[in-house]
Amino acid sequence: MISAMERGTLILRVEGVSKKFTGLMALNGVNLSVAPGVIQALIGPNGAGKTTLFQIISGVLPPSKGSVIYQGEEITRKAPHEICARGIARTYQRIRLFPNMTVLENVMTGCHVHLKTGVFWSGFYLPPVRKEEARARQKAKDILDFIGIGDKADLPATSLPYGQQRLVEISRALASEPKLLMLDEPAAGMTPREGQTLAGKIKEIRDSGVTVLLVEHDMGLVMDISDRVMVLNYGLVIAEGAPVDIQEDPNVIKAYLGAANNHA
Amino acid sequence: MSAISILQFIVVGVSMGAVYALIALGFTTIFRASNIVNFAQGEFVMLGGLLTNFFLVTCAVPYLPAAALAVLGVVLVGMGLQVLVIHPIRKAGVLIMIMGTLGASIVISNAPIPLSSIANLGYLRDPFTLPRITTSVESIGILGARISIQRIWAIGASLALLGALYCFTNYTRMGKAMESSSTSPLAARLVGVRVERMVLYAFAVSAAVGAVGGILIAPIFNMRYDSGVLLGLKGFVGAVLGGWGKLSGAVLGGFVLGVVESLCVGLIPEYGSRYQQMWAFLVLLVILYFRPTGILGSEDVE
Amino acid sequence: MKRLAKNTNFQVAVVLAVLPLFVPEDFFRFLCLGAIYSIAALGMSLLLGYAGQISLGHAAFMGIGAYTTAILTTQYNCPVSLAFLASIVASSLIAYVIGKPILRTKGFFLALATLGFGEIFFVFTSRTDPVIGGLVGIGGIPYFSIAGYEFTSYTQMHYLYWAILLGLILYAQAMVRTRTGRAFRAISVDELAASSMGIDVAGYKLKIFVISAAYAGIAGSLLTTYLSMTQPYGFRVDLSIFLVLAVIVGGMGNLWGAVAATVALTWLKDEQLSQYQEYSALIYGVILILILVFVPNGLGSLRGLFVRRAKAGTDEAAI
Repeated sequence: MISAMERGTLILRVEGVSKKFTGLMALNGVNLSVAPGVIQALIGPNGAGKTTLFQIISGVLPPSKGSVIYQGEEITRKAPHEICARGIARTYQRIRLFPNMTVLENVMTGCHVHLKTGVFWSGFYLPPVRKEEARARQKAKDILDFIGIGDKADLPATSLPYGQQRLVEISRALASEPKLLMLDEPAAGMTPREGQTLAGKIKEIRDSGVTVLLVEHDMGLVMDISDRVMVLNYGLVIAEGAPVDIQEDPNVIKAYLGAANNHA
Repeated sequence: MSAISILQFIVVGVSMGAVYALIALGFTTIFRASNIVNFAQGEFVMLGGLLTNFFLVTCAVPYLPAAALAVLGVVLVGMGLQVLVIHPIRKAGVLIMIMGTLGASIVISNAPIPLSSIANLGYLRDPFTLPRITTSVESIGILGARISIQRIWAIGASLALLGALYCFTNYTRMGKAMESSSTSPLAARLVGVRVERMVLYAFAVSAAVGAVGGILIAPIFNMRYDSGVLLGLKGFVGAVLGGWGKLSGAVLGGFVLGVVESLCVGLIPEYGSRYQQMWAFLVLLVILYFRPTGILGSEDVE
Repeated sequence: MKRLAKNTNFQVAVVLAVLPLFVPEDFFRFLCLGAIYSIAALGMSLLLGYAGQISLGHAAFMGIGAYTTAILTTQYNCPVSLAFLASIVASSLIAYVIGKPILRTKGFFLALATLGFGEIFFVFTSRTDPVIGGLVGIGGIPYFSIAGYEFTSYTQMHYLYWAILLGLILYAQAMVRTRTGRAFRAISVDELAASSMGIDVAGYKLKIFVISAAYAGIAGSLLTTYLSMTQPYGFRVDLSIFLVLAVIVGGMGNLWGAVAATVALTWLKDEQLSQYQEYSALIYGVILILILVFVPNGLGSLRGLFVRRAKAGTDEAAI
């Protein structure tokens, strides 16, 4: 049960969200609460509904039932761009960089929400516009430096190795200055060393005040950096708590072993 | 406006709708096999009528062989289109594909002009009709409205072709192979389906269907070497209207479009017939606004 | 100063400015026409080359601009410059109204919807006699003039059209350099990701549609003062296809490329092909197909055939 005071301070609340596709109940009454300033992991076997939940929170899909409340405001059926403007940014399971832009330009698209130039006025390229552009460019560069790939800024985004493309996607999400950053399998396709560096960066992001919601299969990463873990299976929440408790939860072990058995 | 004249307009609309339905079937067949919209579909219709006319007039071939030869000719053109234009640009994206089929449409619809000069067959540029299917009865009456036998043939043919295409797609191995090559080309290849061949066959089938449509409609209306463009567009509208991607949607949409267009022409005083070529596109804009998936809902083969 | 000299805009402007000193006035016939069509092609380049929206009905927006100017100047004695502004408003307004529902569609269906709009425009103008003039159209449109100064000779028109084009291309270049340009490019490859980054996709699509229609309206208005007449057959599907082709040939996302391609294609169509009378449309169609098959990335990509290019990385993975 969430106390009234707790409810007020939660950054994100997912209440009773269900999602039905034809013939498949992807999510079944999922409740999720995220406290600000933590790294919260969402784990579960493949097909458990984790990405679907992300899609619903970020406004890409509407839920069949339930609501999503961000900082006290109901955002359940808002458009993705409105949700981004409110401070939620995400990355995707399959990398969705813009192949027709450089790394820097990709990250600068993340700045979009905080720039003010309107479509019609941008053609006149007045001094305020130029200044805004310069600031956005600098910010993007700084983020890339922070993440560690600043030297790749002018390369075509999709010419980078897979692991670095993920870093670009994260940088792009950071450029929108989110309060809640949702990462969908950020370590997928990374070498163990890249994963370690990533873990450190995510912690730094959390320390700077951004809440992180993380879907991940790399258990080492999850246990290492998460403050809280939630486990999903077949669209239901089967466990929730501190990483160390989840590791020993019999339901969780059964779910993963069960999934392993199905694939055997 | 009496009930009988309204009925008459509906009858005319249904027979025109039969042609739209055939054209829409052509669009849908190619789309289901390849995810491509063939903007040159209307040209198959025009060529069906034009070639039949050619065989009748210049080669003095009797009606049915002329029609059969014409269908064969159009099938060859359709396959040629796939091999020469579609196949080379298949990976270049939607825009290039659209422009490619439009280019083909330009080439096919403009070819008769110089060709007729070279071969000294000037009549190929003129509007033409084909002789009607001769039967003992010129037309029959339904509840006071008259419908010619030719129109009944057109309607019957499109329904028959719908049935045939449906059986072909769902019950024959080739038909199922054609379906699978667009839904999941990789899986299709793995089971031995030659995907590029399927696209070629789809073009052949669509060309044949279109040609038949042209042969059936030419006796009723005047056609010309440039009639294909408008007919093709309207057929596309019909397919969207009825439910894009579905064979039944193509036929339903074609008939509905024909009837709606005819009713607009008949019932709107003064402007109805003046702007008769416009109503189909207004219907398109309306359906895209209110129900873009069409009457029966669309089946996106992506 | 040296940087200015290297700037393409500056180079082209200088060449065009001195051209009348070296070239017979006859030459300007197609160059003026090329300039006018280039203005429309610029709008098309923004809409298609940057934002990735396929419109096959843009000739209709040129037509709206043309007819607005034609009707206002001949029927209402409106000064040309005012009619010119009205044309821009008219095409922008109509683009706004039909853009909202039409832009919900994509790809083939957007192409069809815009084609349909173009057809509606053609049927309406060719079949409406009062004021619009039906198939005959409207004649007797005066020369373009600003505050009494009339542009009557080819040379004067040359400077006028290219000056307007230069202004419009500077506007477009600036737009593309800001977040607007990035938003268009993002929308053209991945609407979903663009939306997640805070880009109001529907809003941006509509705005670029309106802007490109405004460009077309400008072109149409200038065209009708150039020809001193307007008629429905001048604004059909083939013109829309022409504009799209110009953007493709010039290279998607290449503004000056679109202009160069338009001028080249205008020269090809109106000077070279028209000699062949009966064959011209057929040849044009064949050329169109050849271009699509052999140089779908525009003529600039031909350079790559002679230069070894580094292999691009994991493009497929990004989809």
